[in-house]
Amino acid sequence: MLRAVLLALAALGAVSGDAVQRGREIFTHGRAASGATITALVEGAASIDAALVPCANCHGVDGRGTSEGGIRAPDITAAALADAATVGARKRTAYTPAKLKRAITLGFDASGNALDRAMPRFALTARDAEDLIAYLGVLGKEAEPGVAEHEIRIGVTGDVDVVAPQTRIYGRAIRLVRGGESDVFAAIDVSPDGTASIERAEREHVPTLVLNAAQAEPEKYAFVLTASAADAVAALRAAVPASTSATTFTNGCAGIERVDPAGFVLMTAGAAKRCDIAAIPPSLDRRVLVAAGYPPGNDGAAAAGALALLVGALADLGRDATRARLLTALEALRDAPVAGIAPVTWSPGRHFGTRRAWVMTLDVGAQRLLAAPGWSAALTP
Amino acid sequence: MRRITGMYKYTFFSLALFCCAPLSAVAGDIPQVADVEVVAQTGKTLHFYRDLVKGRVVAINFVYTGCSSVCPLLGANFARAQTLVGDAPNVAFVSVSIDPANDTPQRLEAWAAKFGAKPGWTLVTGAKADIDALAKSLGTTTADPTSHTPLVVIVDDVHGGAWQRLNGLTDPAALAKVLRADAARLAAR
Repeated sequence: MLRAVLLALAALGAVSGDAVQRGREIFTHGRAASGATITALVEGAASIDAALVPCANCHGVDGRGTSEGGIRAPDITAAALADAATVGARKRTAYTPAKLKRAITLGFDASGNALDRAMPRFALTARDAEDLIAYLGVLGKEAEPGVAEHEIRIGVTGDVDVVAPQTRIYGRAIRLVRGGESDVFAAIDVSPDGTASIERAEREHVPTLVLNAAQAEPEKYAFVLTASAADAVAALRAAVPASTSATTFTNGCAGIERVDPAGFVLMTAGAAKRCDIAAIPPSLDRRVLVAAGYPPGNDGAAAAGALALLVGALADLGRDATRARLLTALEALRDAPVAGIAPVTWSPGRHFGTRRAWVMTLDVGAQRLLAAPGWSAALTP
Repeated sequence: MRRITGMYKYTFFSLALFCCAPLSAVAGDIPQVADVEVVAQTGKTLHFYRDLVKGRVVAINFVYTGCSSVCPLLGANFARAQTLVGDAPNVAFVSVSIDPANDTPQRLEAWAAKFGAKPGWTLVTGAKADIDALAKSLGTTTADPTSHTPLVVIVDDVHGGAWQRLNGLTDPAALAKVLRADAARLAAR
């Protein structure tokens, strides 16, 4: 019986790789391939867009279930569904595709018990239901991208040299690959601007550690090790006396010659890069402050630190390397030390690792940046 | 108070048992809602008790925008309850961010918009210490947002009396009924 159900689920999955792909989109984002909105009925409440409550939100990207706020969303991987199970106080038999459809659309488990009220009922078209069930038929059985028996592949972007550690993680060697290959488990970007990597991480669901982000916002899959642009500005502001005026530049420095010489000029790294130092009047000597993610010269150390942080998180996963578990591990880091930069803390709501920036003072005459005042933290509101 | 918190932990696997009725009313002395400074989704600075609670019947829940499983359900429930309550005067809805360091007013506004929040539903963030004090005064905590319990506190500042603490996933119709009953008493005065 069990075997038959497993085979039935697997067969469904095998019907069409496209269906699995479309099903994954519904599972992860609550979006149908047709572009039509899928509605989710939360018990008692009005119907809402399924994109607000996609399966992966509660059951996890890997379908193994999560627990939050007293709601325990059960394991819905193919193997779990194909088996009888006890969920809380409910006992259920194995799911068939028809019973799965009933569970998702009407809210009854395989034995006809009502599901927890936290589980929305999804209004799926026949096609959407087929796609989603095809995906549930392979969920947890697909090999994780970039993970093989004896190696884990990590993508690297940026000109800084990083070297893979020689240690193996539960029997798997770390292999660094360059050139934007798609078959990687996770990635790091150690370039001066990781915007493209952030966009790719979110689009292709590759967990990615990014050293520097200019303006891009990391959401779910990208993790920036340094402060956001807004926090860099706030850190600059915190580095000068509150009573003095300050002019902020975030993109180039046009008009700097007209700035009040009694005040300060605050510049993000991005602005400083596009600023012609010859345009800065001598009257602003030591009144121009520039923020960077970390001290210049620490590029190599910071890149190695980023890789070490990722490898450490991988090691915590043990042999069971899934992207979902990696995301959870990264979001649980608190004040994790990273060579060359400030310690990082990420959480589900925040994928910028720090609110601190390295602030330097411009010696206009010598045309060089002085390493003072150094680390400065954005003041919390 | 401590007893009720204990009950919440106990309901971990049996939420459904408590879904449709108030969990319990707080007996004894009525605690004070902290009058700390908060920032609403509009960016306006308010005092929590003075500006949002005083003289009103208020349903308060606790959310954060980075929360993926429980909070969308809480948002949908508030939106529905707000519709069901309709234009009852002096009934208000307030969502308190328990991740104030990351929830900016803009993020709260965008979050509420997804659920179709109408005027009368205020979302607030603020300085961590103030939000901590506020949460504590309402009998909950911001210590670990990811394991927070879905909770709605109803404070009737018109008639006074014990606050009601409901499961945050309570049927919005039941929540609306409680609020309407208080509002009706208010209108009858």
